[in-house]
Amino acid sequence: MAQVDPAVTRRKFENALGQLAAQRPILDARGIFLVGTPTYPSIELVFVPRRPLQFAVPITQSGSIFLPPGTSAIGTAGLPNLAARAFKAHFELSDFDLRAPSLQFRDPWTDELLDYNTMFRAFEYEKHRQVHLVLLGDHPTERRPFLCLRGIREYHEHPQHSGDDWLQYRNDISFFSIVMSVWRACIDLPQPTLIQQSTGVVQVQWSAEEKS
Amino acid sequence: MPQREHEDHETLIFIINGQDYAVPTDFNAPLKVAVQRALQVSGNTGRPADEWEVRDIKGVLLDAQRTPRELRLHNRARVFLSLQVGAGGFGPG
Repeated sequence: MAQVDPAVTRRKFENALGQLAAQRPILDARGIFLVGTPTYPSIELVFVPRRPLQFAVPITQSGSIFLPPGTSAIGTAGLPNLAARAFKAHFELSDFDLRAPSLQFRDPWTDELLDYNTMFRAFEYEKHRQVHLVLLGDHPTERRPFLCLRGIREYHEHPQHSGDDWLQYRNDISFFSIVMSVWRACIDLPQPTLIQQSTGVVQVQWSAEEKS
Repeated sequence: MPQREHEDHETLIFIINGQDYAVPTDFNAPLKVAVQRALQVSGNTGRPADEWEVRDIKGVLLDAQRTPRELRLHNRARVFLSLQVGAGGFGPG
């Protein structure tokens, strides 16, 4: 049941869309694209990563220098034609902005929810905390992956963040700012690296650039 | 107008919550001075300025203690001014 006058929350929804339209060149430059014609209360954006995938390979020789027997090193090389998969960010702005926007990560082709086991990872970096993972696998009430970041409904309505209420921030954090935060955590900081294990199995390791 | 004064008072475009605010800026004063002004102009005065952060158009964090000239910002450069991101998650804390 709606908690906010529908006319009010629809006007705020339109304002959020207006912010995206006004800053479209910035969104385009970051690989963030509005999908379809948004219909209240949903806004869908596709985020397209462009950071080259890294490939880690074991090294036994560096130039003319051979490593001692039994030792190994790992070198990495960029694969400029490959990047992480694009994803769709499905935002729900019901009761906005009494409640923060809700965010689901979906497959851009099938619209299915992404599986935490096979999806990307998201990070935040702060000087004091250093790199930390902010994409978590199982929200206690929503039972799906969620972004544990201020401005996201699943963060503010998580039982462990009841002391960090969205109402403290809603005047200072717009929908556009939230989209920029999602870009930083999901696109700008993460670095995927392919690693081939000695067994031949190839895995993706996600790390983050230490960038304030 | 003396050349010196003309050079020192240029403009930065602050993008705050998706809206552009053109703020006359002394390029030889710390960026935080223009930040204060931008927050006033935009009506975002409910929180101290040090809870906000400035990033350039590429998303790189800018040190507000340094001057726009030191930061190599040009006249009418666009910068993001947003509330610092708080996050939960896992990792060193």
